[in-house]
Amino acid sequence: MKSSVFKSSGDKSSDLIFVNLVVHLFAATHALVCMYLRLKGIDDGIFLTILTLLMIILLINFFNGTTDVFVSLSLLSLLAGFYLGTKGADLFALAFPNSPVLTHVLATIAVTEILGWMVFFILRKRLIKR
Amino acid sequence: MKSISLRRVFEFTILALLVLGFRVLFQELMPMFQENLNLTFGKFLVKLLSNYPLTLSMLLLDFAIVYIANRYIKERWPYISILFTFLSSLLIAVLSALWIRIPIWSDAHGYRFFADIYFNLTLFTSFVFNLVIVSSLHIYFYYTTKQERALKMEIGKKNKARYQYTQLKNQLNPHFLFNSLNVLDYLIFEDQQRASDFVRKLSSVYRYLLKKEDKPAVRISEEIEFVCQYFDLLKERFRDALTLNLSIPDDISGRYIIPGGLQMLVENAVKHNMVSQEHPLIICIFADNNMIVVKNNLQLRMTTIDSGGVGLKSIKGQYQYLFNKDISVISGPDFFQVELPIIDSL
Repeated sequence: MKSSVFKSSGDKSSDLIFVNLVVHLFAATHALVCMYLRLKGIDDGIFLTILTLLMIILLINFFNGTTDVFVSLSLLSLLAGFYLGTKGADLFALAFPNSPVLTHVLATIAVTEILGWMVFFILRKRLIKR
Repeated sequence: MKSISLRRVFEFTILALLVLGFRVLFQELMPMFQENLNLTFGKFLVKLLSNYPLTLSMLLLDFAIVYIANRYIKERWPYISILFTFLSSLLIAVLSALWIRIPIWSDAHGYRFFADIYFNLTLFTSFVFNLVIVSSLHIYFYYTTKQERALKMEIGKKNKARYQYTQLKNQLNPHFLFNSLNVLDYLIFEDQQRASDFVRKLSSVYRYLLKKEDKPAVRISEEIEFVCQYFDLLKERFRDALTLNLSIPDDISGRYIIPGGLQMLVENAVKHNMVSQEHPLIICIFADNNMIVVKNNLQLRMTTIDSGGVGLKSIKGQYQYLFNKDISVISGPDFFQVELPIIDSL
């Protein structure tokens, strides 16, 4: 039987390894992109949005999610990311008032992790025993 | 490594671009709330939602949209479902904006009414709210449906495994083979021709049992032929104490039935009932109302091995899992009847 590293094999532990890899990798990428663009004085919104979409596409494809679920998850993730990102940055600014770039980087990492794991919990194969 | 489908890549790219476009539009429109209304988007949304009848109406309509999309459209036309959801949300947003702004129609009607910035910002805010609600409901429906499907699949697998186990047991049923060899032993000395015919039929029975293992259904004519061969083996043992009446019209012979189902019912009839010259067992197999019926007179043995109805359960489970059909079991004071659905096509 053909298999792919980008498709769930049904084994929970290997699925979890893949999701961990994807979410943490994208969180790190978000952080790096955010830091770079902020230091350059460029608006990071669109780039971070593209990265978030890529992460969702990878996860959806991994768990064989349907197209309409992809659209729903993407919309919710982007809107949630937009708000959580701005409000999260405001919260982190309370702790680091003199480091605007750091607050946005931390907010980006937190939001990406939250969104990534939220998508995973919705898509994962889980059987409720009745 | 399995290649990612190009079509899926194309689909996701287009949809991702649309979602990205919406995100850009959202970001561009945010400052307009502050500039024109002196309110942030969030505060304006709260103000809009404080109109409770409007909010309740929107929620109910959103639920109806998602229900209709999931129930009637999604499975067959997923993109139509997405489009339907999008357009419905837009329509609700327009209606909401009209609801809020219609009191000023006398002041600004026609083009000016629809070009009014307050109308358009209300429309946009309502649209975003409805999209969020619809998306959330969509994901909720997806999650609950997925759980139910996963459960059904597991139950189906369990039924299939139980059926295959039962079939395997039947194939290797030592009692049947033991009895058959006893009969053969007798026939060898009694009548060589009958013994030879008996061996041929016995091997045909086992060949059929092995051949049909992987098939979900077989033609009724094949199954009837198999039942007749099986019955001939039983007949050598029980002689006139056992009778089989077959009445299957030609027009249904080409349709399908679960393999081994009829044989199992005949075997059950012999297993659970007395078969003797004083109490002859009569088994009737006929077609009725798109079902194959196996009926026998009821004369239960005093002592019988309690199999727990495993055979019937496995046939029932197999029909449910493969064809989503039910068998029917009717037990009267002096008869026992099982009805198996006829499958029209595979």
